[in-house]
Amino acid sequence: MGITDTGISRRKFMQGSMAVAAGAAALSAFGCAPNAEVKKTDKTEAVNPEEGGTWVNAACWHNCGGRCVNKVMVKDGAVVRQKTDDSHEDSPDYPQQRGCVRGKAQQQQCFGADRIMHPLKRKGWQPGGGSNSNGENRGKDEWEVISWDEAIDLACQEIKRISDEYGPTGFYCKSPDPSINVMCGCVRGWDTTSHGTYTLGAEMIGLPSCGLGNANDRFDMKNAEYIIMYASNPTWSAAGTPTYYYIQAHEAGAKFICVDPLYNASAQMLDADWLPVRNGTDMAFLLATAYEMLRLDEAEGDIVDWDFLHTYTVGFDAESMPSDAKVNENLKDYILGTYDGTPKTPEWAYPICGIEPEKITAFARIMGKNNKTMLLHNYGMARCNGAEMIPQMIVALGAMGGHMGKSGHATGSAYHANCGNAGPVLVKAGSATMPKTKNPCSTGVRQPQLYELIKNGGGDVLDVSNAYGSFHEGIPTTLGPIKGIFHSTDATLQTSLNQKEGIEAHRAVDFVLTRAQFMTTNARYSDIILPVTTEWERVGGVTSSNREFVYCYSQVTEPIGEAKTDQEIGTLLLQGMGMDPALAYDKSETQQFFEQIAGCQVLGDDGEMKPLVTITADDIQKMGVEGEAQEGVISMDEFITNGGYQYERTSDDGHGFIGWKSFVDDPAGKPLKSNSGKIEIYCQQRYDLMASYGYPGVEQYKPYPTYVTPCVGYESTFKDGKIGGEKGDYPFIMYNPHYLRRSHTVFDNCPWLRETWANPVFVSREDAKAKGISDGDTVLISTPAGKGLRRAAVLDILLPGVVGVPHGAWVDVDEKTGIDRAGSDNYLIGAEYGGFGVSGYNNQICNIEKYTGDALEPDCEWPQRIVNA
Amino acid sequence: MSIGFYFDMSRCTGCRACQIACKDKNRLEVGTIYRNAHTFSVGSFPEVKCYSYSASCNHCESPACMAACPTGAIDKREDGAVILDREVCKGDGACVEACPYGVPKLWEDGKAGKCDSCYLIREAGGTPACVAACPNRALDFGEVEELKKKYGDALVSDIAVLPSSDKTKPNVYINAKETATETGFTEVDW
Repeated sequence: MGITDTGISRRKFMQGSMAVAAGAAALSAFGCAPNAEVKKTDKTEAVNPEEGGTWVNAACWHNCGGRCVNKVMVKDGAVVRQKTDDSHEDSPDYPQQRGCVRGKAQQQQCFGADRIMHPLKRKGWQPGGGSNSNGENRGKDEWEVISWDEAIDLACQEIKRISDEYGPTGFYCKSPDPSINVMCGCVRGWDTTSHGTYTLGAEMIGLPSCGLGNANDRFDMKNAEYIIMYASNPTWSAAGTPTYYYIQAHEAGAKFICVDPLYNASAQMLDADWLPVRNGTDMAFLLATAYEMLRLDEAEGDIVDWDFLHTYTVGFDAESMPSDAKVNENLKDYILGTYDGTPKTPEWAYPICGIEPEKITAFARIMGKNNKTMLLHNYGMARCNGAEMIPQMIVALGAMGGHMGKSGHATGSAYHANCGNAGPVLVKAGSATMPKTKNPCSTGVRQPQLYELIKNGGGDVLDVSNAYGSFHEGIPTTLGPIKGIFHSTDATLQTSLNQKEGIEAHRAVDFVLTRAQFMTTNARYSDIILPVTTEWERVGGVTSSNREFVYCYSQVTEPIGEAKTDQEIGTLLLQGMGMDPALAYDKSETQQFFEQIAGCQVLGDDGEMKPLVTITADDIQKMGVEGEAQEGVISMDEFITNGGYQYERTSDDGHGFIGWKSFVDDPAGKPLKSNSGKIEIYCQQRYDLMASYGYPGVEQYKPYPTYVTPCVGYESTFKDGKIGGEKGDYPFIMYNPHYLRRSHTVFDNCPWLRETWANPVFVSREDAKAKGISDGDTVLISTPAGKGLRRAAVLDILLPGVVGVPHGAWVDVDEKTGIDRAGSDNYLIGAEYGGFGVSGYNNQICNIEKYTGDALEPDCEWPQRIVNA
Repeated sequence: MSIGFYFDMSRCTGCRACQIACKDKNRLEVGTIYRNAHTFSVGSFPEVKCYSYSASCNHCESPACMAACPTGAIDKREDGAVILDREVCKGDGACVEACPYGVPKLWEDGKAGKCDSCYLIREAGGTPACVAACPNRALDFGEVEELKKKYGDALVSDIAVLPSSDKTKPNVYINAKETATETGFTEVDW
């Protein structure tokens, strides 16, 4: 049988989940209604439904941006309720670490009726390669349950065969785990994913790696007069405490400005002024802002901080060029039009970015040096084709206003758990020492191009990166055929662009081995699926959160069905290969948990980090681990029971942080990592590295920020590629905002979240009207790469001409029409690239129309993907 | 004595954490919602303002649901909480019809259910699940006089997306944005 079409209905979720848990423990309390027990008369004693249960600190471990407290009530082995942090009294200075909407539905992940309970084999697949694999049936075939022994035997037989014949380059895995490194190795895929163009040489500019960490801490946000939220929506992209910090700054009187094509949820709450810059045209907007700052400074004075520019940056003007510059050009003269005869005025920028000139002027005034302004960005504007020079331009604009190194001023990122709260950690999680494993193959291929390479049976590539946020000089490499694909700890086929070709590539290989909890996209196009536990089924762990908090979580339940941990699976695979598992895993998971606890550190009164947790010989004995007693500030028992440790902050505790301050106070003694030691608005090193790749369109770039025409972007929506001309077949810009229903792809299957956040396509009122689309209509989204369906959310808060396809929906291709019923963002994006190969998630092109086929039902009413094998 | 909810609109992003916390605590299946958060926009592009509102039972002074219930399954407790006893409910549906706020919901078993202000959690010294869950501290719950003392007199019970408070005298106290009084609103159904 295949994935059910008639399986457990949405209304049977509770019962379904009971069935799932039955193997591990009775889920007797699930489905009961506590308020049924609130009797009518006060004479009847009320019964607390939680009586007899135990609260456990449960993991919340996804790539969501937060690490928040998630507690579950376990009763008779089942989770009957969740709650968030209540470990201490809540106050603005010492806030509870409260979690988000997604974490509250975590129980539907661990105990989901759609959990994969047993190892599965695709029926049409046999080892041996070639036609044995029936690869074209991946994603269509039926599944059969096999034993762990069979699964490991089959997998190892195939891995040995491919490894013997092709070596490490016979395999591909985006994120290999230790067992893969030891077994065989693999070619890796690289992608600019979250941080976009900040992954290329941010340090060369003088920024921290990926631009992370040089804004101010949360208490200083209250000192700002203006806070610019550039491509930033903390409530959706940095769940947990960050939004609460923004609220406090708002209540202290800060005025917010939102630069985003969508008047996003955070901006709405904060009543921010809105600058809906068209996706991928930020450079035009920023250049025009700089032009206006120069003009206003000339006309009125006191806008540009020339002292700051000349002391701390290079490349802004002719008198501040870096010594390694090969081109005698600078940003200021480019802005003024000295080189190309085009001053980058607001009138020049308006047709490109869509912001009226007077609004650009007003924004330039806010950026002026006499305002306490914080320019806090997330990374959506850097995940665009043509955005290579955005990191240099944003920091240049901040430097023009001198908004660095001073209270109330900031120029930096607002990302994930550290959004609105930058600064060195006050408490941090420990880690277990594990054997170092090395992938015998160092080759990395740009992820979207890799699929074509697989289909072609190999080919020539320029290897420029094999680790996130790290690029090296190009190494010309010829790869042979890739015959095996591993999916271990990522959701690559769903989260990388060019998904349609990715599916074809998966159908072209001999073997796809996947670890999964559900019939995810990775799993669906595999041959053998190994059921892996969630963190709730593991022994426990410690994770760093924001600078003030480490989270310690404990085991909630025994493994569901036959699921095993990653380490158990890796061990079985290594044994199956006849290798020593100790090469990858030399200690138990309990020992690792202990080492994570023991290694936690907290800032001491002397300014040094010291052990956080007091551990006694008795603790060590009880846990059954090896270790040494140590003195900390919290007992191990308390640490585990409390769910970690939060450093209690006050506004005057001396741990406030001002980004860039050490450099600004002492530029000679504390230089930046750039060649000049300063902020490189002109950066020869970064430009040279990028240009050396010779990617398409790179000839347009300069070592300083300029406006370039992207390989795909706003220009591509016009028939002749010229802004203002006749519109082409794909007249809309398409982008992929993060969406609160899921963390990238995780949680997309949880019924409560499906009901709560419906996964629509965002269409502006103006465009909907022109296309005859109403709220709830099924919309066909067409791009050069693919077609997908979603229900329409018609919005007055979206820039007309822009279509939002929230990121992460699990692709669901109708094999007859090739149309994706889930409207997966990456199914609609191809492999085009330019510059240094950034993934242009946010300035693709599309058309939309009212769909004439069967209308989509809300997806909370779709059958869950339950394998009836 | 009256109990009620406080809602600070200036702190709500419409994230719906309250909605899931409520579903979790009440073990509600898809299709049954006791608390929800919606977002609204006023104006048109690009001159637009927005607000979000988290709605559930207002534990009214004059509960229309209780007045309409033919079986006496709905009761106003001593502290003011309006409680529906599902064991007594015969599934008439009158409460669902009567409540101007659309609070009581019929379950698949035919009987109604609604927010009970997390009565048992409160009895045990806790806070309603939605209040404890809000990452932005936009919700509070308590004795009405205490809430007014804590949050000031400028609170309202009438905003454009709600029916007039004259009907049932709801115990909901909102720190409302000015925009929320404008009648030309559109739901942001994203």
